[in-house]
Amino acid sequence: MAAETGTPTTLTLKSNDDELFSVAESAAILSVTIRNMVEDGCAGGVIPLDNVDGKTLASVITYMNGISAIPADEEKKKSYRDKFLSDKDFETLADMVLAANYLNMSCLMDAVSAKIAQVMEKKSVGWVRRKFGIENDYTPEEEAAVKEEHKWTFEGVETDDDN
Amino acid sequence: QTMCEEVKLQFYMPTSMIMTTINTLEIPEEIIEEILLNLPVKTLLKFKCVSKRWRSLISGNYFAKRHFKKSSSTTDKDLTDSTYQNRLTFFKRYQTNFFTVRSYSLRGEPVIDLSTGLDNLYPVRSSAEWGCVVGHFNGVVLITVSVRDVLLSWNPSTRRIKKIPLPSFSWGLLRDFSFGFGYHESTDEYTVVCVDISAYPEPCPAHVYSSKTNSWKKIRDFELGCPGRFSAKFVNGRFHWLLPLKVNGRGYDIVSLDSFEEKYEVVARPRCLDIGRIIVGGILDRYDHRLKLEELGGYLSLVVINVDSLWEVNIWAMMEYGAGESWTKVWTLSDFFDVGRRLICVMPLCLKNNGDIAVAVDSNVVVVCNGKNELCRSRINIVDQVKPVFYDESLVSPFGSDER
Repeated sequence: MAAETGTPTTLTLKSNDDELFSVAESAAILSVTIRNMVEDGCAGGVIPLDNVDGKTLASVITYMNGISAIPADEEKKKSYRDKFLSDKDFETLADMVLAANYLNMSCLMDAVSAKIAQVMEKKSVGWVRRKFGIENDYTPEEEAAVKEEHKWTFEGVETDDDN
Repeated sequence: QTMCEEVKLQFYMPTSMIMTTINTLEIPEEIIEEILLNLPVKTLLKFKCVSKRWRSLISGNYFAKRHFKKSSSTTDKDLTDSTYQNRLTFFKRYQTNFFTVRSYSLRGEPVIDLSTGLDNLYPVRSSAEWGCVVGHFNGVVLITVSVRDVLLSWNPSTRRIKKIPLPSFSWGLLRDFSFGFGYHESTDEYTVVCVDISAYPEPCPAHVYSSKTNSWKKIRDFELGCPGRFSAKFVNGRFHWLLPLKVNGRGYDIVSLDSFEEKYEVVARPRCLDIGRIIVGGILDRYDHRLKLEELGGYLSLVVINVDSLWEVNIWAMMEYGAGESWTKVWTLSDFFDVGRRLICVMPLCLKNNGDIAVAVDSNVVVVCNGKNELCRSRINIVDQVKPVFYDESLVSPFGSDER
């Protein structure tokens, strides 16, 4: 890691659509992927992040800055995460979970996974297939049989609004 | 300028087009698994319909274990958290149908009506049939049923049930046995211990059932005394009983059984076991204390009632297994209720390592608290129902003859 100097070290991150972002090293190393690059001395110039687009990276950096400004207080960090994710739609959350996975940020990964689960909970099977891009590989008979076996679990499913 | 146009374009893009873009999104299966781990059991069963791949993922033993570990973990939730997947389930007793089951959250909210589940799976044939809960582990509850001499392993969350085959040794009436329900981590094996207490004062024959072999096996006799009809409490990989000291009949010991090593041992007991002469259950004596051994969220625990003043009730727990000095008073009745009330029962339900504890009092109030502070008090009418079972929901398959 860089030697302690008067001014904090800044890193430049590049998204896969060529947007450049400046971020304090202390915040950026929340990502294990970035931390490893810094430790290996590969962070001299611009750090290319080939799997993250600019919109998502901007959001992740907002999170990095926000969470690293909070001192070691798990409860405050948790409420920051909850607030940060509260207004995100499914598509944004899906992009973020992929980015968190690529950047190896376990706390963000856990929080986004839990948030996606919360969004999914009352949704229909059809909604899940559409949002996750999953092809229904059951025959109509097979699907009816699986559904019949777990009929009672379909109580309280919301009608699709695709939000 | 181009940015503005893009934004505008997206804004007016019809839903069907947005859908097309989303379909290109590929979430790898290991990330899908991380997401699904956060869902409650009922939702996961529903999503078995999504695809064959999802069904096989959700049905897998590995996923069930990871899911249980995550949902029952205490790191970021307290017992009153409404997202906590724990359930308090009651069986109705002395009714024509024993298997009427009611289920609540600790906040007193009714959860799912489980009665249809168990009724369909195990229809009751006569009013003489009733059962006892032996214990629960990984969200699976073990029940003994009178008349039919059968053991049922049941997961109330998935509504699956399995019958445990009858042992080949002399079975007789259930009231002559002390059962225990446990699990052996390293071999992923569910075990049931059965001690024939009718043999006392002769050494009591003991047998162990294993879900791996799906059979019973005789183990070393229980020689340290009479374990009584209370079920054994499974903590730290061992079964536990509270029983009178064999030597002079004064005072009580806690005896453990490691069913794999076939080893019986006396466990370090708390100071509360040294108060005068103590009797277990049943008979009340002046100046005596009544004790009940419980498994409490993975801790070995004792409910100690001063028989002379019934409102003096304390719950103790061995915070570090095997360490006598780690026995701690974790709950005192008078901290939450006015003294002088006539009590029906005090039933500890759960203790978490963050200090949260849930206790059922007087058959209809569940107090949930953290140390000295009351977090919530729920009214659940459990009069005329047997001991509640408190468990965390799980996808774990009930073990038994026709599965695995």
